[in-house]
Amino acid sequence: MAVLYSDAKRKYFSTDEDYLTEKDSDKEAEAFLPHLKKLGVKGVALPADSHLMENLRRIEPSMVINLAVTIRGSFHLAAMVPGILELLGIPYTGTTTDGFLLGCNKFLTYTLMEQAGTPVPRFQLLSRAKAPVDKQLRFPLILKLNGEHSNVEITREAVVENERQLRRRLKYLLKKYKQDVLISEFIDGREFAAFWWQPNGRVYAVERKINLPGNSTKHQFMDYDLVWHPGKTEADYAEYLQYQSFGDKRLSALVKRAALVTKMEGYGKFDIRMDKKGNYFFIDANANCYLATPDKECELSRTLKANGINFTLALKQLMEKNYD
Amino acid sequence: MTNGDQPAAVALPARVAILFSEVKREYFPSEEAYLTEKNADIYAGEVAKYVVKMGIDVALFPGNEAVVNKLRYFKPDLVVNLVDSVRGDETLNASVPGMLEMLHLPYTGSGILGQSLNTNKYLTYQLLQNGGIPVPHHQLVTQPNQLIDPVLRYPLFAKLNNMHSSIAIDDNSICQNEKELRLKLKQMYEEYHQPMLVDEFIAGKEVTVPVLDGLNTKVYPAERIFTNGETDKPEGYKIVTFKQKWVAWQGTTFLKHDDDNLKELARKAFSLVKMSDYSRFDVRVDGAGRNYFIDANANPFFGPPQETHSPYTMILEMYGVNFEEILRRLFVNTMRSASSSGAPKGERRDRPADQPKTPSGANG
Repeated sequence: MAVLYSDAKRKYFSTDEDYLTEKDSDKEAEAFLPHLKKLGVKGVALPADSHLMENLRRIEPSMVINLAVTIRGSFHLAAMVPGILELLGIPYTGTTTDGFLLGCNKFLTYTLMEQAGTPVPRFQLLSRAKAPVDKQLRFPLILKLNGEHSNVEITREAVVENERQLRRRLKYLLKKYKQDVLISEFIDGREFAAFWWQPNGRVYAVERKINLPGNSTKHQFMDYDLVWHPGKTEADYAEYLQYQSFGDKRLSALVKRAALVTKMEGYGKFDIRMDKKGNYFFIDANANCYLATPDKECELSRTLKANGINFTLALKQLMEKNYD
Repeated sequence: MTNGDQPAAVALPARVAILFSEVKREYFPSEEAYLTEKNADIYAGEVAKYVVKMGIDVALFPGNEAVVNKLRYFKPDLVVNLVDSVRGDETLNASVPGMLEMLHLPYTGSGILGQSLNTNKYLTYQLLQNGGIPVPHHQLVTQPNQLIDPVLRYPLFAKLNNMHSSIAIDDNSICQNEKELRLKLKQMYEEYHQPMLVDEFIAGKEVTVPVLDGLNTKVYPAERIFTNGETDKPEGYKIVTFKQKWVAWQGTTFLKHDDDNLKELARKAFSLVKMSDYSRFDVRVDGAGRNYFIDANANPFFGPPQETHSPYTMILEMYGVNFEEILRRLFVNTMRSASSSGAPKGERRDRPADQPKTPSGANG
């Protein structure tokens, strides 16, 4: 069994924030190996770099756990990993090239979910700072990088209350990242993470109880610091983010449908907001979401564990599902 | 650029590998799908003859699991990627540019992004529409009995969402009423088990628009003229059926179509759907002269016009660009891009003009 991880070097990433989201990928992949050993499976951690193909040919794994989400710092390039595994005929966990590329484009993901009847906030893709904004959109709006995950640039300034703030933020993002920006209506209310777990076909959800430190606005949401707490520890942020198990058949049905249209395979995560009237809005989809041992602050592993699926069992289920 | 206005000279590659689809009947869901690919090796061989004439060392490889080792052994300077399917599956196409990116080999055609988008007509429509390119009102249908958006006006045109080459396009694709539409959707779903796209049919001319990228992006629009088979149909209702394209292809000729607005739209569309090097758009032009983009083909069927009857190269030849010149431009462009940018194809910063997201079809 080969565990593939992102080859994260600082020089590959345009900002420290980007790099921080990936920098321990090698250690996290190696942490899988004792769990594989418990299952009687010999594992090896491999970087998804330019030697990937020769390494795969040399090792000849019977299966791959694909944790690589960037190659040379690029999300798009990481989509080639499932493609290569398809070409080599090696079974693997996680989504396909198509599913991965969809996940690299929030606009397409929103469009597909909307078309399939999954509720998403009103949205628009912008490429220029002075582009006209659809008059149907109502403030407050949230601005996200169209091709980024891991909450990069989801800060307090990401939610804007008026046109002036919108233009300033838009200009900043376009200039710094040179990529399109998705704007969508910000949904005030509750926030959830819902995980689709294909091995047993179930959905596991948690509510994120968020209380942003020093927050002077009424908006509560998972910002970059809350996810990655740069320079601090998880304990430092414990009072600002707590989890509570959550179950709703309606949500589960929506998640299953969304997983299908966004081409998730094996497992995936949706970030969901609920407005004050109880309506759900899907705000992000992550095929191949962060999967790590539970000690690594992994929402998926912790949620599975809370539902009786410890990490070793989760790996076993994933492998059985994908090997079939 | 050497001095601000002259492009730097780019050397042609010394060794070129040509990859083509490995085709076996059992890989394909239908005889039609198989037919579109079955001579892939022969057509690749025809391309190779022209490459040899350029004094370049050539090798031909099928795009399968053994290709990685073969490329490592042959060490090409450039790869011509003619692979349209992997194990008969068009959606696995993107694995080929993915593999070539990983091997750091310059290659012709679209990157993983462009190839992946190319196998989803609905997503292509959304990107085009968001970028201000006109597309017909449409709806994605995943089941043949799915409710059809009442906003859509008959006649409607039903096609497969994930397949190209006019597969499943026949005289029944234009549906005048719900009964005809349901029948066509049912037929396609039973055979191909994939989502389908339903468009408002645009009665009028059909124009195909080849694009050849380089320092300047050149566009060569041509109207399709049907000289047999379709002649008994009312004016404005002639379409490219599978039979027209693959069986009675001699019945289609091309006529130069001059429209500067269409050329500009095609350049913009080329960038929006992340295409590289060469592509072809299909456009319907209604009675009022309005253009509607109905299909985008990254890496369209490619080969010397006389030997392979590739519409792309036939049209360019009509415009005075012969096959040797096309190859030369492709090679120069690919070598130049590879030497000037570390970014993968499709990640080049191309900014589409913004348009508010306007509802269309079921998306409203």
